[in-house]
Amino acid sequence: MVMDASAKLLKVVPEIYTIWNFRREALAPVFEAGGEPAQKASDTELSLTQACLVENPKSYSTWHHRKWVVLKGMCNLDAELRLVSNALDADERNFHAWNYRQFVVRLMKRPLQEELLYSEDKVAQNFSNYSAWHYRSILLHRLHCAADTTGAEHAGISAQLQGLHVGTGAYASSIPSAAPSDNSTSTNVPSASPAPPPREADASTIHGANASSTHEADASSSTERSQGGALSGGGGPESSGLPSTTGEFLGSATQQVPVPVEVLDEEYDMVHQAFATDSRDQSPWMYYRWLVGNSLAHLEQAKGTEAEVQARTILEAVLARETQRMRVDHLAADPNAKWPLLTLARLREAQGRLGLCAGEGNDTSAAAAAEANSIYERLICLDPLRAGFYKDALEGKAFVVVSALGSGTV
Amino acid sequence: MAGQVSKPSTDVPPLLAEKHAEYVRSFSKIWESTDKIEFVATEHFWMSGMYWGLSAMALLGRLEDMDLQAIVPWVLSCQHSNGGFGGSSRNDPHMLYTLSAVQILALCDQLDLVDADKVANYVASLQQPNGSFVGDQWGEVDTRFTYCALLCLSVIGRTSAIDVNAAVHFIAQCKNFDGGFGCTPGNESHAGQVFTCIGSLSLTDKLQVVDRDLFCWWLCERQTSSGGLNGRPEKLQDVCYSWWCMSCLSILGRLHWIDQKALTNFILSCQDDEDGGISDRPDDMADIYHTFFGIAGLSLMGYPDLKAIDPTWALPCEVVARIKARNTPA
Repeated sequence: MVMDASAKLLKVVPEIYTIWNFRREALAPVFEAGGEPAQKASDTELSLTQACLVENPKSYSTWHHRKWVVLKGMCNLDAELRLVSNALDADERNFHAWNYRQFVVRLMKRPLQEELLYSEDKVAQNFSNYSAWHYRSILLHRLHCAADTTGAEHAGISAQLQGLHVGTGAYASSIPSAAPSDNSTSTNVPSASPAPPPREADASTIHGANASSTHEADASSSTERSQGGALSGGGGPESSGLPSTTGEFLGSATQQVPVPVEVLDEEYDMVHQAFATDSRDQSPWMYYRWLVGNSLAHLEQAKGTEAEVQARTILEAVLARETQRMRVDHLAADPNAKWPLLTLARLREAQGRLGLCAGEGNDTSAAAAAEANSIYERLICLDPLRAGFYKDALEGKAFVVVSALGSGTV
Repeated sequence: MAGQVSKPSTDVPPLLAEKHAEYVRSFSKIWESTDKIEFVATEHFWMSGMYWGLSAMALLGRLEDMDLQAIVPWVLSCQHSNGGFGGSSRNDPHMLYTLSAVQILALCDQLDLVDADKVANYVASLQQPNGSFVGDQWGEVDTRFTYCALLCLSVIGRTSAIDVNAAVHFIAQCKNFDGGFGCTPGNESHAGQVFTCIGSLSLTDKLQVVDRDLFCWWLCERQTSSGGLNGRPEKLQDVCYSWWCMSCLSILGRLHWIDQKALTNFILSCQDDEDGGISDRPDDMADIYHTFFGIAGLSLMGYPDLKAIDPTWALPCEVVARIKARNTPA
């Protein structure tokens, strides 16, 4: 059987994407027909991809095929969550697995709070787990700051879940048509069936439902295999929707508002725990920079409003607290430790620029700026690979944390 | 710590250009080796391998040493009726290999051999309503494919075929807390993905989307005590990041934020001084991929006797100039 031979080959060389394509073409009608054979096919493909992933956990093609199978709706999503959790236990930095986790979590509509707990566990297992800290930043944003509902969240799986769009190639129109054309003049491009099936219901019906919505495309030419694909109902209007295509793109497009102050306080505690364990891991320090950016953003966004005074007071206290922690928790014991030094320089730079030094007693903005500069000078010697960066920082040309949320302005 | 102390300069040979040229030449007719076991594992991306090899030779000033008379027809034989190119003549069309094919034709100054509208059709057909691109009809979304689409269309002069603003909007959605970019929204910053996003924004003149200082600082933190660069925090250095990171730093005007001498030494210490080629790390086995990206990284840093490479187009600057002239109406 050709399918058996392809399975053998894929376990050794999973990135031969054409072979996965071949399998999908052969299986599409089976899933279309539904019932027992479809369930069996689903089980077989899950088993195959699992075997492949054991050998090659970083294969794009394999993870993608598994998503394709899962979207047929005949699998157990709890089992998928377990599979990806195992993959992350084996390699906590496997971004394919993190990507797959986000896919499964969305399909399951798993509460974000539970994912936040998961990321906390991963961070507690290993504080230098940059992937887990990154995931936290995504989750916190979604939980607290998600003003953006452009559907970008779904972009990662929109092609399958919300309707894969493969156009007819009529590129004269600048925006791809939302519905597939049913009288393509080109024989070279797979065209969707003239009568697209009813749109797949939302994600919650996928589990356990026969959500098969694929159909064969017309054969494109007699010299090629039928290019039957995963063409579901086409990019219908209820897909992620056309994003705003006008206007300027400024700064951190994904995050417009900061994480709430109380939440930030908890996050600061978490990173300080990480620092206490091993302050040389850069991951928590990089996450920390983002926290400070959020803190600064509260003031930035309150400027000119009646909330400004309170925002200044809160930020002043945060900056005073954090500079103190850098000095006492870290620099007292190791005055040349790069990360606490760099962080202190940035905190002092922020205090200086924003005139928030009252918490430091008789300190002035000038003194804060001077201390920041003297630290950058020392870092040129302590961290010489990045001398070019520190020199620019000395000249005020490297706003990294002073720019709240990375928006590039103070 | 993910690093090792860099070798002192005296231990490191200069760029062994002739050896590398010989090494790359040995892959000149890679498609004739279908009976060799090791090539079964690579056939699906021969088109990219050929692009890496030809580009390396072009930077070494030895493009004519390759059998272009045989290579160009082979490239064309990998095109499907829908306009897309496969990794080899037996492989299905895919965005990745469509770009590589077009880049090869540009290197060889044979773009006239391809029907630009047909290729543009194929690329445009893969854009999704949210601006992203899938790699092929099977629906994988990744910012790599956005870069492939934009660059491919830029080379053949057909960027009007797609919704550029929507493409840029999708890239912006992939930006992360550290100023970097992932493969889809919500995914971790990784130097390879980051390059495809910066490249896309550079091609579309939308670099204001980037938090320049924040992001370039994240990039300069990729340099480890070995002098080499890693792709993300806590990972091992690898020669290929000499390209993925350096091209971004070049585009954004911050090449001076890393120690170029240390990186140069690292790349040079990854050479195979017997059989030619460059590997990911010192003393590992060489391959075409790392050979190209090592040479490309050196070119970006102005290493002598190498042609200049354009950090956005990943092609020699003289090839880019030729492309732009070709696409400009007389």
